[in-house]
Formats: sequence, structure tokens, C-alpha cells
Amino acid sequence: MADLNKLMDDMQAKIQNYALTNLPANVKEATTDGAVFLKETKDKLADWAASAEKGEMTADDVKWLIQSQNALKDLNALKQTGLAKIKVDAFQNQLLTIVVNGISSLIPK
Amino acid sequence: MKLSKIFISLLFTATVVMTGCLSQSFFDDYVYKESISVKVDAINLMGKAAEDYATHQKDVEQLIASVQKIYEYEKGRPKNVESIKMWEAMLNPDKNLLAGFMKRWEDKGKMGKVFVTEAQKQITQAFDIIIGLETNKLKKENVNSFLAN
Repeated sequence: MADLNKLMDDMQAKIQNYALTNLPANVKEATTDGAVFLKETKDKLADWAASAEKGEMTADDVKWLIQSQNALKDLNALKQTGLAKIKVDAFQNQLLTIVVNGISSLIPK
Repeated sequence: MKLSKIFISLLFTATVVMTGCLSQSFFDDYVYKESISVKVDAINLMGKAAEDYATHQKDVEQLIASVQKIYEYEKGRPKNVESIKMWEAMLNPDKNLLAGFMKRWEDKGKMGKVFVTEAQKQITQAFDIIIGLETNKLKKENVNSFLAN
């Protein structure tokens, strides 16, 4: 029973450590990614407006590009959703590995 | 000892049930390689949009067909919602991505060079987002067999 308690404590420590290291990072990544995308959008809009003023592009061209940027925003959101799912899957995989290895260590060879 | 065995069995079963199935498809080498290939073809073809559409119509149709093949393949993969929606957006002529660009080219006949360069950057970024998700997916060989099946 002492072995089991030790095993449980050990597994809990490993799981906590993995979660603290990996899961919150996903939230931070998504936030950073969003901020980068916003800045990119602002920079692009400025460039496009400047090109239109110089007559290098039409207002219609700029409108199309702005709408394409909106479409990219949607793609980016899909990517973030997918990445979040992958992080959860990776955590589940690690959790199962910790438990399986822990249990295997109890089985006499 | 018997109690320990029961406890271990329960713990194991609880963990497997708790962790359940994966929520995202595995990394797919075919999708990765084909996405890169079609990205290169798309950007190169877009670069010709300052010329008459009629001259390149067949190339456009072939390119769209290549993207449709990837999309159909993606639809057959389980737990692949986000990737499927991304390809749908690329193939939607009403969204200002790849198919939308080709539709605009067809409607206008030819397009301005600066616009084409800017649109190429946008479509490059779209492909990079799609490929970026794929490259981050877990590889099946790295996943515990209890979850992989």
C-alpha cells in the first residue's frame, strides 16, 4: 500500500508538472498570435492605402485585399482552435503514458 | 495483493476512459507534401494574373482541381474539422482567398501588378496557416496505442 501511495504521489507530481509547463503556454501562444495578427493587419492597411494614393491600386483592389485579410483572420482562428485540440491530445497522451509506466513499474518482472 | 491488483485495474481503466479518444486528426504526410506543392503552383500561377485570363484558364482549372483533391482527401480523415473548413474557404469563390482570386481574374480579364503581388502575399499566408496546423498535429507513432485506436 505504501508503494501505491508513493506511485500516486509520483504520478501526480509528473502530471502537474507537465500541465503547468504545457497547457498554459497554449493560452499565451494564442494571445501572442492574435496580437501579431492585429499588428500585421494595421501595417498592411497602411501599405495598401499608400499604394492606392499613388494610383498603384484601385479602391476596389484595396477593398478585395481587406476582405482577404478578414478571411485570413478566420483561417487563423481555425488554426488556433486546432492547435488547442492538439495541446489537449498531447496532454492526454502524456497522462496515459505516465499512468501506464507507473502501473508497469508495480508489476513484478 | 488482490486488492492492489483490483486497484491497479480500476486506476488503469479510469485513466483510459478519462482520456478517451483524441480530438484532432494525426499528421498526414500526403497532405503536408501536397499542400506545399499546390502552394508553389498557386503562387506561380497568380504571378501571371497581369496577363489575360483566357491564356491561363486551363492552368487555373487544373490548379483548382488539385486543391479539390486535397479537400476530398481531408474530408475522409476523422476529427479534421478545422483543416476541412480551411480548404473550403480556399475553394470558395466568394471568399477572397485562392478561388476568389481566380474568379476575380476571370471577371476582370487581367489585374494590376501591385495588386497581384499583394494578393500573392495573402494567399501565401493562407497556405502557411493551413500547413502550419498540419505540421503541429501529433504523429501517430508518437501516441500511446490506447489513444491511437
